[in-house]
Amino acid sequence: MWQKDKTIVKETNSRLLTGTEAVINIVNRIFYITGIVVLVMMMLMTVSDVFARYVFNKPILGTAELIQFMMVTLAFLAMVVITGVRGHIKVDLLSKYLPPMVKTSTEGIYSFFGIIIFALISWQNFIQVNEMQRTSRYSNLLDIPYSPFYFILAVSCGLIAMILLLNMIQCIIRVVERWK
Amino acid sequence: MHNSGGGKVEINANLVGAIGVVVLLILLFARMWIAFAMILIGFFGFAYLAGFDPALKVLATLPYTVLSNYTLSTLPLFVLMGIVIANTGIGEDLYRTAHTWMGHLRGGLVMATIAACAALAAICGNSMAGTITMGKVAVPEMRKYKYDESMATACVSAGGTLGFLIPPSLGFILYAILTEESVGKLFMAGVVPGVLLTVLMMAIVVIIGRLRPGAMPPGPGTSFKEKIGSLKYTWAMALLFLLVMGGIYGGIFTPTEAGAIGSFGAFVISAIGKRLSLKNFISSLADAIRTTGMVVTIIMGAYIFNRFLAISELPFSLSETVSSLPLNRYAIFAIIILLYIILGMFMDIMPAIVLTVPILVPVVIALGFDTIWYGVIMILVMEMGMITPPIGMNVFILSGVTGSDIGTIFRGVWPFVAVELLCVVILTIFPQIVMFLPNMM
Repeated sequence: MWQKDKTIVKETNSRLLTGTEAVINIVNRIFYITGIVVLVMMMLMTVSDVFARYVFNKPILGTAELIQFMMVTLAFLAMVVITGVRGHIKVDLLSKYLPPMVKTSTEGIYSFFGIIIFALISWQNFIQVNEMQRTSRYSNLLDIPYSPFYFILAVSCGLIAMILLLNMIQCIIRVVERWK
Repeated sequence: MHNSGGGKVEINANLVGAIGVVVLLILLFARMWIAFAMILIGFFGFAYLAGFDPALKVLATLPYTVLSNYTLSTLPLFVLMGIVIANTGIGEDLYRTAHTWMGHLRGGLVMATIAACAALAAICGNSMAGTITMGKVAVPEMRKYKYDESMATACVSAGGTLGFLIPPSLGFILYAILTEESVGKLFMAGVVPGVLLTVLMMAIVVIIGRLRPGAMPPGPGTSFKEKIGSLKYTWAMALLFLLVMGGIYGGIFTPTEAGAIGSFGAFVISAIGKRLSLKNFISSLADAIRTTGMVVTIIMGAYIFNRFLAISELPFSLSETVSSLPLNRYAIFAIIILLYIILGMFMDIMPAIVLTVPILVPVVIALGFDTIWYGVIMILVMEMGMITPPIGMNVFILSGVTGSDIGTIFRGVWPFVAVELLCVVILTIFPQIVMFLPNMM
């Protein structure tokens, strides 16, 4: 149910490898569950809004605004999850022809670039959190502050960078193990 | 070429843009994650052209703005709807119904498969669900009745591609988000072409059945009572489709609301049919989260990459150049189509949309074509790529599900490819077929 990448741990008895994988799995489990809660809320709230609007003639105030907040939350939670299960889309055309070690080493290099970009996004959005608080930015209809959502974004991207770091470490270990 | 104002600077920026695109393609084929490659090149390209601080500003503002888009919320909800239907076996019911109604005809099981794929497409947003479900249910059935193996498998992989054309379609949602078109209009634009393609596919099956009577023998007949009885589970799905699409068409609710009602309805229907266990419920939601994560990351990547492309003015120069070529616009259009067929062979639909839309849609608009019409054609053509050798994704998936040889499936696929090509030609000559429903909204 909580799709994991079992291939990684199977081939080794390295403590560090199993340890990092366990950390990633715990983080993922938490984000899965939170994501599920948000998605169910999104569905139920929208359905109730439509019901309220047509059956009782009384729409729920600010549903669209709430949906936007939920969407951005869900998006970044889901981004953490998909990074954790290594599910990001790639073009797998040459996969069959490449030796596993080439795949592992390039994955390590790409993780490294990923760390840079997600760390940058995280850092910039932590600055945005302050900025939103300083300028007291609230949503138009429901007066919900923006800063917590920028915070979720910043934390999620930071976590993605960390998962990628663990992934990079795993790649390095696997390459080194192979060489020995 | 045409940059009288900008002079040298503009050519430079164009060149940087072009280099960016080339490097992106190299990274993609070197198996870098698509979204990551787009963010990486988008960020550093932007920094090169506009400076490091403005590039950081893009990272600070764009992820939030892009992913808090109200339209985007259609995505997880329709994804969820499709997954619930796929996970709870409702797709199999659709096949049983179609089987009962058409099985006695020559080639009837193939037609039933295509009809069931179309029906599944009408409640499911991708081609995977149809291919996998029918691969599991319909192919064994056709084997039992001694259908020609390549026909039996090819019709499933071809039918599966209807998933992206018949609304709700994740491809249309993605296209709408990237082009800032209306999801509702794109959905409506897909309806008639989807029905047309289904009918054309069935017609080709009838023709093949005439030419090679042994390949698809008729199954046993069923009584009228059985036919009615087979609707027991499927009528609810039909109702759900009408509710969701009718609601969008009539402007009764937004596509987001339609998605919420659709997924909620799918849960209710599967619960009433006693198909919804707690495990099913949670794993459907978890699946939906994963798909959402995949797609939102490439959307974020696409937007960051597009910022870079925009300041490089590459799409602008390209469309100016192309539209001033001394060529008929249909000739250019044909070249673009060819490009998509090739791309579709090597790449999944979603990444292909994300990669090409920012560069090619401005060109298509400059040529005087309609954005919505083009969206439908583009999806249709890429679906064709999904069943053509050498890489046809759907064929590979199906081969995994059924254990059939890839070559066997590819052999049967050609009539369906021909039919899809015919459909593209028809829709190009008569764009009204695509446009009349969205124009009436």
